[in-house]
Amino acid sequence: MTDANKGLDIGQNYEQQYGFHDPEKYVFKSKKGLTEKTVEEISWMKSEPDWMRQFRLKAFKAYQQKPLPAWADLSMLSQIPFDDIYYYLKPMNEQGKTWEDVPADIKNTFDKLGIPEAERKFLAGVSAQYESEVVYHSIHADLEKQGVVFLGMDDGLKKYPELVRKYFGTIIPAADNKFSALNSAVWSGGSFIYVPKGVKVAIPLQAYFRINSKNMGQFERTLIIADEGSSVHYIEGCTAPVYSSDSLHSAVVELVALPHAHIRYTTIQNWSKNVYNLVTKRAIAHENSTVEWLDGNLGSKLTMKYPGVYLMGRKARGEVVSVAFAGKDQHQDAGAKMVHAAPETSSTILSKSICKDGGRASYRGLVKVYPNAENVKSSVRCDALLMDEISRSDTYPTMEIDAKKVQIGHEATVSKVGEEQLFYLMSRGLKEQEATTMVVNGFFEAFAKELPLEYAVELNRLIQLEMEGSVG
Amino acid sequence: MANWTEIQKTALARYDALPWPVATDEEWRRTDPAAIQLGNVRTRPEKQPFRIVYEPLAPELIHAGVILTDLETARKQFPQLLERYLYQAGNPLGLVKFIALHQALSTQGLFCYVPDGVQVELPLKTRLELTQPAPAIFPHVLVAAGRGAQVTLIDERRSAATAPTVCDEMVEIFAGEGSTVRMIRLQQWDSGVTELFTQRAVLEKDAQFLNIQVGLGGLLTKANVETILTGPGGRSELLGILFGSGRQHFDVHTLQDHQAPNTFSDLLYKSALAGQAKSIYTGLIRIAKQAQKSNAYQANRNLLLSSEATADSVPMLEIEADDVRCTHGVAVGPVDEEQAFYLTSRGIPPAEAERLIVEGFFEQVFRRIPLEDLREQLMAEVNRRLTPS
Repeated sequence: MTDANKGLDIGQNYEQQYGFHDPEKYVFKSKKGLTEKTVEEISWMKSEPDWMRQFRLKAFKAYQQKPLPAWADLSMLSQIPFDDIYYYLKPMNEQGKTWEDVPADIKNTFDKLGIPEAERKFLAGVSAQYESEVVYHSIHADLEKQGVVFLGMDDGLKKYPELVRKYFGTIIPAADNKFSALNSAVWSGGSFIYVPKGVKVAIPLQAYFRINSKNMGQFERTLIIADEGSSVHYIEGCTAPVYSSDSLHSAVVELVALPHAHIRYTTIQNWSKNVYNLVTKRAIAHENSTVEWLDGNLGSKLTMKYPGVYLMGRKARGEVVSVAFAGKDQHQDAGAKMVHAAPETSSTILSKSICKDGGRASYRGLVKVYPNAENVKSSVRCDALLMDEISRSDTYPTMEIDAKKVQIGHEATVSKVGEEQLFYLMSRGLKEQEATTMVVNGFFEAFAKELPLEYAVELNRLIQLEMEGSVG
Repeated sequence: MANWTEIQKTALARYDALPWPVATDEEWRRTDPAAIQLGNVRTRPEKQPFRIVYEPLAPELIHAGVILTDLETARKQFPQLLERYLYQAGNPLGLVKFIALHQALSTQGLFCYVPDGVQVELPLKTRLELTQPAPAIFPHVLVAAGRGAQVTLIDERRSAATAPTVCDEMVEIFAGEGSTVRMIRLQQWDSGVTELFTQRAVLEKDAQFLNIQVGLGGLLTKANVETILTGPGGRSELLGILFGSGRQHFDVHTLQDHQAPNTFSDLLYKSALAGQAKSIYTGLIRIAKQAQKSNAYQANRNLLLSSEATADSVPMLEIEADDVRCTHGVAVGPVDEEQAFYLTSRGIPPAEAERLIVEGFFEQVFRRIPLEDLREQLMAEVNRRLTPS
């Protein structure tokens, strides 16, 4: 047995562990559906500078004009009840400086999710978002002293207007795609991080996103700027109650790695199966910098997410490790984009997916090499495991190579859980389900190895939960 | 009896109804549809602008019922066979508008039929030659092998006249139960030809199909090569060699469609690109729910010989059965500098060294050609193309 399997409450499921909800209390809730007025209202409530208001309104027009992407899983995507969604919900008036400032119900929720405990144990800073707003926020005093900024995005805009204006919407233009346009129009919450030159943030910063209400739309916006020679690890997690009606989560995340900087961005996405998760994530990597996306997709109904790195400076490096688990009624449409626009840049993409009970996992990716980006190296590896005959796996990689001196490789495999492996483990006394879990954990190991220990355990536990009762 | 005139009329109406492709169509994202200069072709030329060349069959083959003839003759002499096979391979995934035009205007081509149990040992060699300038030609190749039959066809394309021509070609292959069909297409059009090429092979139970596409000529190729495995035990091997220079543009789409259990398919396409040549490879492996215990492989390798040559590659998998093994791989890279250095340091001139490296690159495909004569002939053709004149 692995450590992860010891003392776990295997009988628990998502509904009990994450699927609960608080009574709905809020200080403001926008009307159902989305009009220009809603966009104006959000901007007004936030007392934003005019440029941001204009940015939102322009984005809203782009959102209205853009069709749903034709290549997407339209059988699911076209089911989004856009007119039944609440696009802005403000849960409380003032953001809490301590957990005691946070209303009891909300604090209780984050207690159940283990956030304050994680904060005490192994985080350098925490941001907790509930519906549309960040309700609690903290950062270690010594980091603050070194000039590290870790704020909710709304506070970031208030306190660092110049810095925000310089980068906001430049890595992902509002009109990049329909859902980035939607986010740009109605964004609220998310994180703003600035790490000064040479500062290494050794312990991870974490943001946790929680949806509580029915038919909720959550549109957080995150901007991370790692100045020259700095480094930072940001982790985000998310959950939502189980409802019979659908919610929409559509984030935009922009990362800027200045020369010699290092950003690692980890996501453990565990939305309930009534959440559409349509997220745009992109990084700009300058000379000699490194950007890593560790992207774990376990929950949601439909996820569409392809974290990208635009390698703009010589010797910049991008890495995506993406794992996906698609169960009943789920489609994980995830992948990665690596755009090599400078010489001697390198990238690796490792994607692992498992589908079972009729779930569908798709890898969709792009490796693009511009002319004159010589001595570029890129390798893509996709592995998919199919657990039964009703599930489906797809691989849609794209390679566009316009430079000569490059080494580009892509490999993918789809197979089922090896009967030999199972037989071997079962002959050692493991039950079929335990054996399967072990094989699956081994399959995801590359991802888990990259995670801080606590998260690796969490991931294993999630996989365990999903596996319960599925085999044998 | 099939009313061919009626079928052609319907096809022309379909052609008129279908929109002209636009660059935003997924299928045409990487090849500008404006490059297809078909003008307003709606009628057949009086005189066929191409010639079909083949050696007459040996008497014992004729006696055994083997047919190798041009399509017009076949239409008159074997109407039942044509009715059974012509346009019966199902609907290809792409080039729909041009397939409609092909059906509307194609009359001539090649027909090869091998009855049940007959094995044609020696390869049949056929050639289609463009003989006079024409805005468009519509050759059709129809190959049908009966149960347990065996046949190898080496089918060549050449130009004897130079003029901008669109070749809107369609190949249909029927491999009956337990049959073995090998098709090698050697495309050596001159630089005036724009090629729209559709090939669809339908494999029945235990049929074995080997296809080698050798693309050396033409200005622009937009091709769609499909194998449909309809019966258990079918095996399809799709190989491709593309060599482009100047402004040559190859856009090849492949489909390995596994519809039955225990089927196998393997694909290896290799392209070497000099000058400003461009290769676009998109390929799909599809494994249907019922196609359990199938294996499918797909590999695309690109060798960039100049800094202006480009290669796009999109190998796709759609898998709906779990008890399968499926892999694909892509590689793009330049000539290995160490190899080049080694050769030139042995006194081999750089151009010759490059030729040797390209030959080595294609070797992996050549090695899989089962007939030695054929292997040597193809290597010689590729070599001729690689040797700067």
